[in-house]
Amino acid sequence: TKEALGTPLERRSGWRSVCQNEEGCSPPCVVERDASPAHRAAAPLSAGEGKARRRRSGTGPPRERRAGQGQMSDVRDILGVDGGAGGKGGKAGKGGAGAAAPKRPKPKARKPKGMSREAYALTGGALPPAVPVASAGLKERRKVERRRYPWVWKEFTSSARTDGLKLSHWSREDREKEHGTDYYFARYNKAIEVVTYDDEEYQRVVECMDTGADIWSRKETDHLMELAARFDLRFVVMHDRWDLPQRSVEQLKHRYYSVARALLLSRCADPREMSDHPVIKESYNFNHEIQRKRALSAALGRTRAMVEEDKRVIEEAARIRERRKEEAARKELLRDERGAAAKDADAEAAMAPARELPRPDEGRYLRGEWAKTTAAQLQAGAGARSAKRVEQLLREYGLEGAPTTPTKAVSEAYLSLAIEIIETLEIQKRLARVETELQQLRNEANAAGGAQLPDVGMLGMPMGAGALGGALGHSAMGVMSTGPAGEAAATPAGAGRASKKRKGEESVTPRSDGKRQRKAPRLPGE
Amino acid sequence: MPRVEGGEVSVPLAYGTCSFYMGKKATDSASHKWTVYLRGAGCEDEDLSHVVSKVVFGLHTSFKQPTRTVESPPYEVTETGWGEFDITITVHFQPDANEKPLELAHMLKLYEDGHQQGAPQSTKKPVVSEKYDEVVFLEPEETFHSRLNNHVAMPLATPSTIAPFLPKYDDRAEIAKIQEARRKTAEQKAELEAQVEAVEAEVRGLRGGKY
Repeated sequence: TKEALGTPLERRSGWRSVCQNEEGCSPPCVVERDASPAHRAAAPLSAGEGKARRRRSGTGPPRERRAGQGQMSDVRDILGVDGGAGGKGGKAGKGGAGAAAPKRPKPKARKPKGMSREAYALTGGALPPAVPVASAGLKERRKVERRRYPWVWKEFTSSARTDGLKLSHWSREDREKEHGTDYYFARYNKAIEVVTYDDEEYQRVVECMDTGADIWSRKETDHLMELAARFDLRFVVMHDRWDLPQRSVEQLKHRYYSVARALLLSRCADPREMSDHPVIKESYNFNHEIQRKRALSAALGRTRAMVEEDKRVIEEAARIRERRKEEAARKELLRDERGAAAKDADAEAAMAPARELPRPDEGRYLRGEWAKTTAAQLQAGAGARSAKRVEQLLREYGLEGAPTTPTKAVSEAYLSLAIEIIETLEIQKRLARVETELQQLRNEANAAGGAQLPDVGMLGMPMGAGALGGALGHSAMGVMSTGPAGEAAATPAGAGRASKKRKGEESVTPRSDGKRQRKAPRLPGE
Repeated sequence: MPRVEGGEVSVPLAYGTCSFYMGKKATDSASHKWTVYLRGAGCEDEDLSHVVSKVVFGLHTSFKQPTRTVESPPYEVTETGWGEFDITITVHFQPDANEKPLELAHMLKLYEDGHQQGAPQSTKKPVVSEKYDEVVFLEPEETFHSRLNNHVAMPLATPSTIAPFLPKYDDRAEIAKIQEARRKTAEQKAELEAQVEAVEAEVRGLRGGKY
């Protein structure tokens, strides 16, 4: 209806004001094309009119940017300032209201109806596609670049064939000259020349050979030769095709090579001139081949576990060997030292130098560096805790770190000292071990030896509930095996410790005494 | 060229740095005047040119031409600077030694241990950091070996300027200390062994009695 279309101004500009003011407002109430739902509700438009509004003529700047431009764009639009689309659009819009004017493509991304204009603008709106269409060039035909060659359907024969069969194939004309007249692949038709014999030769040469456990009949030998010729001496295939009673691959090989050998030798005049022939030069060793194949399959069949096991065993063996070497070296050093010390009791005399220390590979080296690294190696070899003890002891002697003036005498003396300290520590450890052993034995002796000792111990112990703890005390004493044994063992160990202390060393606490005296269990009376 | 089997020749040397604080003339970029050197330690001001053909000092990359080669003694490089860094010293031997050059490294020391930041330093007394070591030639070539053995240690014609400040070496004190330590260790060891013997004897006694 006319009312639905709006005032002439509106019709021209393509706008419709919702405001019901007949005169038109001043300034005019502007309604965006994409009216909000509120407006829509106030002024329902037909779908057709809505579409008509949006239609515009083909001229003018792209309007898709509109969505994000805000109020100004609307004003421009109405006044037709921007590319004159307003005035033109109106007419076209009107004209196109009736007939669909699909000349212009619809903006691809229209604002969804539920969203407000601003919201739609935020999403980026209807933008022109920025990506060039990729499929543009795919269906184009490739330019023909290379020369075109004529191909000919040609008949050919192959020299590799024996039956003279004529086949045909496509062949390129210019290549024909290269290939020549024969079939190109006939050159690969190579065959191995297998030894042949006739009856007479066979009887003369081969049958003489036929001693031993393995008897080959003439028939078998012939069959073997035939297969060999057929299959180019591929023994595995021949073995597969072997018709007669079962023979192994090695047996086939053995028979073939011995026959070939015998024949060749009998044919040539001078055995020596044939000595370069491979059949003669390398004789086939039947037993060896069987063993070899067995070994090969075993080697291939080793599981990863077995391989790693072997590796580990080898490493372990190497380590043990190293250790044994070191032990031997140290023991010898010890023996030399003792010998030398026994010889000159005089402390001023130079002590025997260490001979077994590793020398560097280089032709020239720095003595100080070498002394330092060797000392570190020795300490590391002794173990982490021992290394610390060694350092501590060196510090006490005033020899912290490597010597400052590493002359020959000083370096050797220093390293010998390091070795001796390590040995001393080892003896200490050994002493501790042996003392533990002794104490254990003593405990066993006491435990087996009867009830006296526990009582004695009880009286000795300041437990304070002697009579009361009689029965309980026994069980307690059974637990406290360190009591009397500990005391007894304390004396020699204590003497040892005292003597050690005299030398200014800290004592390595032997574990026998290190076992803490367990606290007396609480008796009910206490 | 035959080599002397099982023989060895050693050349004692000392290398390090000697640094003077520049006092009034010090600037931010050059507060110390220091010298890195390599010298013979066998005798006073020893001339090492019979063994050493040239010494190459590798300074910090911020110095112009950081690789300095010195071909005649005294093997020294003197520079001014403000920072401490690692200096590489490569000693090239005479050709008849037929040995690869030896590489050493030494940290340039400008401040004494425990020096407080900003504390004043003397301009007369330098900060010296030196290391003594000996180059040992194992199984040297015969010509080289004989030449070294016949060589008489000579002092330098022009002694180095820093020579008076450098320490002298004597290994007798150290030998004495080490020998004392060895003696003590040997005593301890003998004692411990005696103890071990005693305890083991007891163990054997107990064991023997029981089983």
